[in-house]
Amino acid sequence: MTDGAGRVLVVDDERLNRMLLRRALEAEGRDVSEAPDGRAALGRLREEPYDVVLLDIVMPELDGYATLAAIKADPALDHIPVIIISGVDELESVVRCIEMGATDYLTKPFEPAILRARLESSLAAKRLRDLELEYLEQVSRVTGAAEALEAGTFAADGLAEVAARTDALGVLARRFATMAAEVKAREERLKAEVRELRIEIDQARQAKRVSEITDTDFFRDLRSRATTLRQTVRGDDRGQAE
Amino acid sequence: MTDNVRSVDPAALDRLLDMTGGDPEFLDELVQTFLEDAVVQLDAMRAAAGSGAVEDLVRPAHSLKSNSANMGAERLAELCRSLETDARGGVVDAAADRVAEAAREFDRVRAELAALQAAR
Repeated sequence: MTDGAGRVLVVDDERLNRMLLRRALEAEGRDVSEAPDGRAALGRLREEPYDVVLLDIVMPELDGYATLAAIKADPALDHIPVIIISGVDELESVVRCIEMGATDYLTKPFEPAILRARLESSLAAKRLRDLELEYLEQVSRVTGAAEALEAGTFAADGLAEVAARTDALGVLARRFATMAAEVKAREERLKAEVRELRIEIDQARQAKRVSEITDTDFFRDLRSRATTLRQTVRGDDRGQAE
Repeated sequence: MTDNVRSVDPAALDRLLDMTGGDPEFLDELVQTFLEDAVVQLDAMRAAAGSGAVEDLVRPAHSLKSNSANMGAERLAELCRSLETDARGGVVDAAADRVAEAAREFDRVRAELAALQAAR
């Protein structure tokens, strides 16, 4: 949802109707843009965000029916409410547009109070839909965070926006971030313990290698000879001194 | 059509003024736009009726119907509605005469709009 009282695109080939609608809507504080036909309207809708479209039927280039069909066939646009405002007052046209997904159908000349009411209800529906889309997007961020945690690529600040929510999803995101931080701290502790264990294992291996050498008969014999040799050397030293 | 029957409902202009924030200069702009566009639409209707291209009557008759209704020119709107409906059906009896009748009604509408604007 855009800021303010809603961003409205008026699509009508008659400049008198565009002037009239623009002035009437701007008097209510709405942000209004215009398109003189369906092709131009689709171009504008794909360039900028709009909250509601007021669409004429009889137009050159691309008429209202084809424009409505194109809007409803485009996943990036199909959530935008479309209110038909047309001089075509046949029941068949009304039914056709509603079946195609139009939110409402007003005939010209339109009654301002009715247009205002329909516009407000369309904008309220758009606000709800926008909130729903935002909610779904933030849910996918939490599930994405769970996958990232498993893959070891989780970044705590990625959930900050969701965690700022005051609803249950915000509680879930905060709890998740806390748990992820605890898991990370535990992993760090475990890694440190593993490092220490490796050092101990290395030391034990070295001690084992030493004992493998010192526990042999050959080494014991060698040590005995060395002792004897040391004593002999000391005895010679003592005799020379006397 | 008798002379004492109005071609423009003054209440429609009040409604337009009210709807657009009460700016009389903007109402003048709307009236001027209506008059300029109606001349173009009537020319297109005359051309379509003269050539017998019935389908070419639909858009200008539709536009003039819609704009006339906005201005409170109900009789002109009704003449155009009838032409548009027949043109959509593919058969327009006495097309040139009916377009000429719409043009005469437009002259009355133009005169009444000028008088109403002058009286404001």
